[in-house]
Amino acid sequence: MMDHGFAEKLAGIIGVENVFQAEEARKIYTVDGLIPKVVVQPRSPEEARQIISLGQKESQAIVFRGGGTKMRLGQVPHRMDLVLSTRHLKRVMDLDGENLTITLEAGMRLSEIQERLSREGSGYFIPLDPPFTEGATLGGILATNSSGPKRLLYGTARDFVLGMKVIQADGKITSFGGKTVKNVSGFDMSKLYIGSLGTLGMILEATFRLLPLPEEEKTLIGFFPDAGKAFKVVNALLPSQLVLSSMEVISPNAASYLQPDTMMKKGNYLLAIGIEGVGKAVARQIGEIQGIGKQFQPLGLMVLEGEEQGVFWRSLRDLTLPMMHLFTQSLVLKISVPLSKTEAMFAFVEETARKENFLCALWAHGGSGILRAAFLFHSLGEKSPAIVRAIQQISAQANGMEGSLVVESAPASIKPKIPVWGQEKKNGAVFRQIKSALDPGACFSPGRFVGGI
Amino acid sequence: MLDPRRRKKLIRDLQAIVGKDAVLHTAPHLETYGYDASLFQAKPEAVVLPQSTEEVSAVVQLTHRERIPIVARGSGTNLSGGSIPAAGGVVIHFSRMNRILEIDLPNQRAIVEPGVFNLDLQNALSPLGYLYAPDPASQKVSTLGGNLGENSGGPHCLKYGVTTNHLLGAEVVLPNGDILWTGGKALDPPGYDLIGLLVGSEGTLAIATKMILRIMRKPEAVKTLLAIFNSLYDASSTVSAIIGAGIIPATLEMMDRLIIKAVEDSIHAGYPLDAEAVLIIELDGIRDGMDELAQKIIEICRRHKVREVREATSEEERVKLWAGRKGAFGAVARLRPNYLVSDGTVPRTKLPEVLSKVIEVGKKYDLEIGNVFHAGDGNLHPLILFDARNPDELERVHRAGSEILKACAEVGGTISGEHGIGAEKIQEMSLVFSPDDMAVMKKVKKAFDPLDLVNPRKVLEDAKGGAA
Repeated sequence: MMDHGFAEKLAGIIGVENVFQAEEARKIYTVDGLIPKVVVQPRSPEEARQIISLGQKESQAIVFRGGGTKMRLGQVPHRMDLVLSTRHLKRVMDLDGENLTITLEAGMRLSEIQERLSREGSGYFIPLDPPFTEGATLGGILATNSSGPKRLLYGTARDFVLGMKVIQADGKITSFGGKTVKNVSGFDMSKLYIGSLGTLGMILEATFRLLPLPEEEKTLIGFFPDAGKAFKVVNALLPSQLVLSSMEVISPNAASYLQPDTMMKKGNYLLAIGIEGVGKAVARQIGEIQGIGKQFQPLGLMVLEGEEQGVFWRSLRDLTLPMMHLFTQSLVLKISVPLSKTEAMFAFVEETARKENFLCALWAHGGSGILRAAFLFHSLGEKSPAIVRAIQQISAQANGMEGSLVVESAPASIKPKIPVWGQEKKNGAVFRQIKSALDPGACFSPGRFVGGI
Repeated sequence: MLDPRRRKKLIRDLQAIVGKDAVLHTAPHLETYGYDASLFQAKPEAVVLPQSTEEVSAVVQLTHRERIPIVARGSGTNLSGGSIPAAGGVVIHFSRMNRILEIDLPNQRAIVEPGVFNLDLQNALSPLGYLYAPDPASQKVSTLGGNLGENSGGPHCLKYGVTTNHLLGAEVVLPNGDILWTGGKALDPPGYDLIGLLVGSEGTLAIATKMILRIMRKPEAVKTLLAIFNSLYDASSTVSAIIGAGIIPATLEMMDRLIIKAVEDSIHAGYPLDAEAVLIIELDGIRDGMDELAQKIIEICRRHKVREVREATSEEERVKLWAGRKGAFGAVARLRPNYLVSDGTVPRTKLPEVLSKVIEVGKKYDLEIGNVFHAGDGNLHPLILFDARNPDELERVHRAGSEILKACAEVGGTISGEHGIGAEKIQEMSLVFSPDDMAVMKKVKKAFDPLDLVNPRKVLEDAKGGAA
């Protein structure tokens, strides 16, 4: 339980109704089996910064939380005293459609703002399509560097965050970058905070570059008897001058969770390719890709558009949700390899799962070299040693290919035994120097990040 | 400056690492490597020309041990004083580390040494059907290492981004001489985004010795338009209107009358001498639908009173048109011997307002100002022309430059879009950063370089407060 005096001070800052001490309320905010001593929901940046300042003075370990969709990421926290939720920090600070910029507070849900943007002027969007469509907040998306299939065309958060406001460990609110697309004044601090898992400061606000909604969007899905054929199409498309927005290779187990389910349960490997842009360009490219695809004898080809298309991509983005619902002790790995090694890594993961007799769902961003593997378990039981072995093998293979592995989700019990952040590299020393400089008291999320930060 | 005995020892120690012919220490050499494309100058103790990462590391270990400042140097085209040895010390010049180590098409990557000229990489990729997106106007001579330090852009950054969006990994030498790889050919390396932090840090945190770049397939089709306007205001309003209509061209550049004249006199690109402003607009990508997009753009230009729109109908015409834009900075030497180029960047919609402010400033200080810039991303480049031999003019130039930056900051812009803070804009940092913001950046600097030896007196005020 939280020290009574500290809880009182918190209530003094944000009002007693925004300080949660009851066990039932705190349990929802569990991270890897650790229940915070108190949960707070500040109503303004000023309140947030006072809480952080107070927390630092009293050496409290603080973990930030947006939609809670990715709290399983990272190692088990060393300590977690306070969870600070951004629930009330969700204002649109500046929407400048003409300038193609928007500034938002961290607690804003991506789905909510995308919806609003689509109705603004001639329609805009933030070029991000990460998992957890409904729940993910911008702060969490940035802190975990979350991304989706359309990164192939648009890049990731680092490619369109123009500026940020961050609350430092000492409670100061600092501002970096701005509203302009070009900006080299000072260090590019935003880059440091993206993907930092809240270990260097609290992202309060971020300015994003907007894009106009494309005129047209279509998806081509090819069904193949094996991954090899799907990758042949991928390899034919990569060196072409076609402009794809996404290209996903999906294993049969993974595909069984896709929507609309009437089409997906065929036991095949899927290749899903998204194209967006001006109508003429989309039409021509879909036609051309169909032609290329046919050369590799697909079992079927179909074009999706409109609502069905939306349903499909959303289900792919959120694939782990139904999986975790059924198999609550699952592990999800994110493996990144050089582009040309994607096929080999895909095969390696499938082979590893087969050897150990694990149920494995596997899907990959074919044009980015990024794979996700879900090992699905109801319980770990005596399978733990085999799981550890499998992850170590995949990690070693990824490293051998000059790539990396991150365990995005795992039961807390197995985390200490696996390389959650992959193999530690020499970088670790520099990371620790930076952490030490910005959060000397190790106040923020201690122990969860790379190198034990 | 070091006393003669220490200096002699330094030179001997450096020679032992890189060889006698790779250490420059006579007066003409020290002068040559003590200036860049800015108005600043300083004298180093010595210049070294390493050939390998190990040599760079050994040099840095030595200077670190001896507490001697260092600055990495590419081609010295830096416009803000970033390349000059402001605190003396050793210039580490990368002219001999200029190899393209690998072009890896299946992985869409190129591995290069930092001394490679940007254009040389482009020329190596072009016959293979690939390109490296950041194409600064200085590309004929600027190096990729320098591009990393400054986070260089180029006319195509409107659509494709800047250096930080195309650098995936680097081998760096840290301030204590340690060699470190960060990032690689694969995406999303776990941990903090050191690459993102290093790009644009102006050589003050670490020194890159190898770079892994993203290369891309050339676009299928390109369409280049030249739009001729009778007013700067109409041209700059058109810029905003094109983007506002949901069209993101690959590039949107602007030149005004003064620049047009200089360019025509030197390059004869076919620009009309009586126009107040021209826009170069380029579309690229899939051919289908491009004609319609171009038509939309022409309509928007017409709505903003364009005089004429020309389309480059051959690759030759296109290259000529671009030669004019890329040679602009050099061409103004015909008009006056020196220039100060401002690098303020503003939200696109504020362009007309800020451009008229620039004209006002020119009149106020009785200075000729030419404008050639990346209108699409709001990155201005007012070229303030003068003769450095006239001290009164130089003083007015600095004040004019400062006022322009202030105007940019006031409309929600920033003081440097791509040329860096260097030594030149340290004072103006307070226009866009609070003391708390600065404190955080200083902590980061200190975490990397506690002794403040790596390119000191740049970007941030020194610890004692105030610029050098």
